[in-house]
Amino acid sequence: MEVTDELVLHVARLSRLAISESETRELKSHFQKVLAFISAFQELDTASVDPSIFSVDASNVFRDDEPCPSLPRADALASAPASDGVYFVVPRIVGGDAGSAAPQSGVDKGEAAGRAELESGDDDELGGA
Amino acid sequence: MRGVVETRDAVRGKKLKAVESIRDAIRQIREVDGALHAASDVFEADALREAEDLDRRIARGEEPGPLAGVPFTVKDNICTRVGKTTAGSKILASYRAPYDATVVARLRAGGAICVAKTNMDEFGMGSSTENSAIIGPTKNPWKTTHVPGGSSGGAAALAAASRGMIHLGSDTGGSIRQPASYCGVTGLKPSYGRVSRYGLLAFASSLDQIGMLQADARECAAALEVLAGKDAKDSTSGAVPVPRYLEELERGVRGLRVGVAKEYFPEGIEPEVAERVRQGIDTLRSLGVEVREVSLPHTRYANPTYVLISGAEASSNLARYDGVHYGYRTDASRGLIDLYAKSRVEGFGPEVKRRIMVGTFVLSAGYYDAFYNKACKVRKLIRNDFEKAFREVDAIVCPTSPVVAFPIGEKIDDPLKLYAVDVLTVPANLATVPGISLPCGFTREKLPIGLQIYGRPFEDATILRLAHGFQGATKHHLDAPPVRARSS
Amino acid sequence: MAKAKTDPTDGTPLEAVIGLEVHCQLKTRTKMFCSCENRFGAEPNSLVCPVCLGHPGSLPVVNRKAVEYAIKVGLACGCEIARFTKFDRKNYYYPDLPKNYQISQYDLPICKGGSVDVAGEGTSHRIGLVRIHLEEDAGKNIHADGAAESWVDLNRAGVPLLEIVSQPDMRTPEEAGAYLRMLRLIMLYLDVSDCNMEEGSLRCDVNVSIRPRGSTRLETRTEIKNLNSFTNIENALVHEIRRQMKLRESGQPVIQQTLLFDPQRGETRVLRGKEEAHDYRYFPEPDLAPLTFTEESLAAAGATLPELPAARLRRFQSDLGLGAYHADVLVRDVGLANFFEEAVAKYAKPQAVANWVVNALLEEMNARGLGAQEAGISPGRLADLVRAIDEGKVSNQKARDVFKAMLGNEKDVAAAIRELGLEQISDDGILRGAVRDVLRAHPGPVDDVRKGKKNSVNFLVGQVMRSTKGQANPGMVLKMIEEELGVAGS
Repeated sequence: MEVTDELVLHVARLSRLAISESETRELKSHFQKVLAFISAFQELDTASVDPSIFSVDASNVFRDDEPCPSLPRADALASAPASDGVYFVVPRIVGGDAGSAAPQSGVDKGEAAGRAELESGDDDELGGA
Repeated sequence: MRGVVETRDAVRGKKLKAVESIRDAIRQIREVDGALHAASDVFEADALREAEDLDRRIARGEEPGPLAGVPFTVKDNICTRVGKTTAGSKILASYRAPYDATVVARLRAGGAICVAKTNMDEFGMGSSTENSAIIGPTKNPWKTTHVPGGSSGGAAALAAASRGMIHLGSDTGGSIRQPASYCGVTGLKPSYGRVSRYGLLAFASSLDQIGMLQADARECAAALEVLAGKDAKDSTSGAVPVPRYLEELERGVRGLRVGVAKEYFPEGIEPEVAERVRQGIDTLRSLGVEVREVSLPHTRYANPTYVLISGAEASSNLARYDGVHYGYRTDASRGLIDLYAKSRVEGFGPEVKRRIMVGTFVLSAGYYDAFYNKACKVRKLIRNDFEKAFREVDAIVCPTSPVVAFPIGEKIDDPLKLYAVDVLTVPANLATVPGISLPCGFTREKLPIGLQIYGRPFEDATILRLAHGFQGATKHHLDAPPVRARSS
Repeated sequence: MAKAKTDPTDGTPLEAVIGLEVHCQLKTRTKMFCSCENRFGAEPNSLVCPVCLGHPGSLPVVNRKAVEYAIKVGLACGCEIARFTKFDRKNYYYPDLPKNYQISQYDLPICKGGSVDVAGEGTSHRIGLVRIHLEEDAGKNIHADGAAESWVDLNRAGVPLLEIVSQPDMRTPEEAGAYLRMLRLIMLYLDVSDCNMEEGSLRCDVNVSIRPRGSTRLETRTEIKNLNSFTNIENALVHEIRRQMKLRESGQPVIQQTLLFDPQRGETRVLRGKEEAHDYRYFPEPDLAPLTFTEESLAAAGATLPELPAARLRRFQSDLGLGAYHADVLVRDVGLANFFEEAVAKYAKPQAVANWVVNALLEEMNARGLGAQEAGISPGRLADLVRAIDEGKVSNQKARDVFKAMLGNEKDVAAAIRELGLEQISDDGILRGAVRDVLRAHPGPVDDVRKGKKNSVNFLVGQVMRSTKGQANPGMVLKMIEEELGVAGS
């Protein structure tokens, strides 16, 4: 199959990688080679074969519903690139308008809005250099 | 020089202080580090403190553990509370794990002491340790212009250039076995599920396993006894009883049946490699091992299947490195999506980005069936091949890699060339079977050649026996490389 | 008029087609894949560990209890429980999703099919279910107007969620509300969730479209998210149905969109279009083993199911003889219904007990915002009170005072009556004396009674009650007056 610039950029967006123009070119060529390489098995007839999706034979591996101590908050936040000692801090999640309604429900409101925005995949901020 | 088993015997027998053992280990690592670049971090103060503590406990008459006083190194994609856990990547350059991996905890509970983290290809992606983003490539102690293999290159180089330590590595498509073969040491990838993956930074969850690189099979057995066994924190670890591996070694090899598959001597294999491995098979025959021909017809599809499945799983496993909760965050970003995209593009090296992209692609809408699902079906065919072969034989013997250690820089610009050196190791990961690589000779240029043995799932003991038997009749594993630590 | 408000399609040739997607937090003690406590309201980022933080190297392990709860819900709704089920990764990037994938279920959910019966006005409508599956919840993102940052609390990350998807079988906003209420009630009966919309343990998205009545085709639908109360759900649906009807009227098409409801303004606005379907790149979760269930294990789970709301409603009416209203009020509140049954066990007069539970007790509970178990009187003592009334030990009117006096203490009925001096006088001698006194004092009304004026009897009874400070047994008083005056009973 043909690998286009659009495909490479689309995959980069899905992967959250802000690749440069030269990276795009290089990746396009790599993609083409890898696709050819991994297509080797397309010739195999696997119509009657069940896919092997697990590497374990076991099933029903469970844990009892017994609480164990959590990490102290300081430890949980210790590795955070940005925190105020209580929360992880990130740049404002897109969906600003959503936050303008009833502040008390701002948590869930903005959350539902923001999540939806980011899930959409139609964020134009990514893409080429 | 003292090996692992001799060290623990001496410490347990109060003939050697743990502190001396640790001091010696650190000396050895430091001696070769300038030439080899194998360790990414050394923990002298912490290790000595633990050693002093152990010595006090021994003096008090407490049981010190089956690996008392044995130093160990940890590949830098395995979490340790001490020091950093970087996976060889800029994106985790300052990351400190809040917990010890289960394997680390088990070794420590067994009395062993962590002395260093070892260098690797970023996130396990590579076969030469040239993709190490923080400290750069590790050199092969047999020829420092050459690669040690990868991704457990640091562990392999140290295992070759020093003595008396356990070196933990990880293997997703050959990352223990291939560097073991390039550095002339014995590297074991246990059966999938034999050793806990909790604390191993996941590359491909259905393929990854933690193992070790050692001077010989006996040391691997000693380490495996302590590492193996069900871990409640790892749902994929098997609830299979752990044999006494050291005792199993004494059962010898007479009567075992070993298979040789023509598919594992592919076109393009270096002639010296093929020759030495066949000689190795002859050696096994002379020990009373029955050698038969077997066929694993889907072998040539293993590498594409591996590249696809490992890429897909990796693209998902590496999604968490996003600059939000830990790890590298870009300085310049406008908004959240930019933060993700820039942190990741700046923090990941080129090979990692390539694999993530390929992996994302094969899982993406419209391609899942043709690629990921199809690959899982081919994996089934490969597993069937092994099941069938293992009805006739107890183990399969083959070369570890079609080539030996190559010059640094030779293959790095052509990723697919690099993938090709894994063709003989990836089937083990796909089939969940154990695999061990051991030295079986050298090329004319005195570069090590590895012989590989595959076994049935959870029959790690069988391949250890065969390796041990082979090493009882040969001396290749006793040769030391030009760059090595001197005896104490 | 009221109907039109709740069903904009009423009286029109159109009908609404409504489906609900409900997320329900399970009340297990620990999270879905790690042993952190599952608790609402804790200090931010204090109930986290390497697993739910998505730290490098961490691995999930399935909470057995969450699976048991999911099976219970599936069995209660008549679903088919999958004999083989697995988890899948749903990949997307978001700050409240530490691994940037959610462990969920894709093509082999734990439950399929099933239904929930919803009572309407004298009717019952069966709402079909598509599927029920298990997944982990995400953390919480907190925003503030005008701030350049958002804050993330991961306490909720990893909490077990049950996602319940209905068929688009609902036709009115009221029906949607009734379905959600019944679903919630079933969860409460099973004791698998608190189903509290304010705390977020019950969340709901709706899908709605309109079509000509009688058509079976599904038309373009919109999705409304972020509905955090029953009222908002119904209002949002009313608004959206009206909006779609207006579009249809003016010949414009309904565009497939996701909408947010603004309860302040009572209107929806577009969140995003659905031009691009989400690419979640689902694939089976390689870190978890699959789940398999045998007939025996499912039968055992089914045997532990408690009586469900519909069955209890039927039993209250047919076996215990309660009227529809009382039965409904009781069944709607698990605690109240349990209280009632315990009281009836002590004093087997269901209608009488129900009267007291549904009125006096419930009023007390509502006034103080408490559950039946916390209102301050045990089922046994309430039963004793009802018995005492029936045995004539206290009059019905004064019984309320006795009830109040028994709240928040351990007093038995007799003691409470005594303390209030409310013993009902049922003693023949005393009553007859009081009656004769009143008859002597009111010759006029006595005369009226003899003449046939029945109302005057009531006056005389009232006078006896007055003279006995309300403690005379009114039934006996009436009989005595009639006897004394030689008139027939009324």
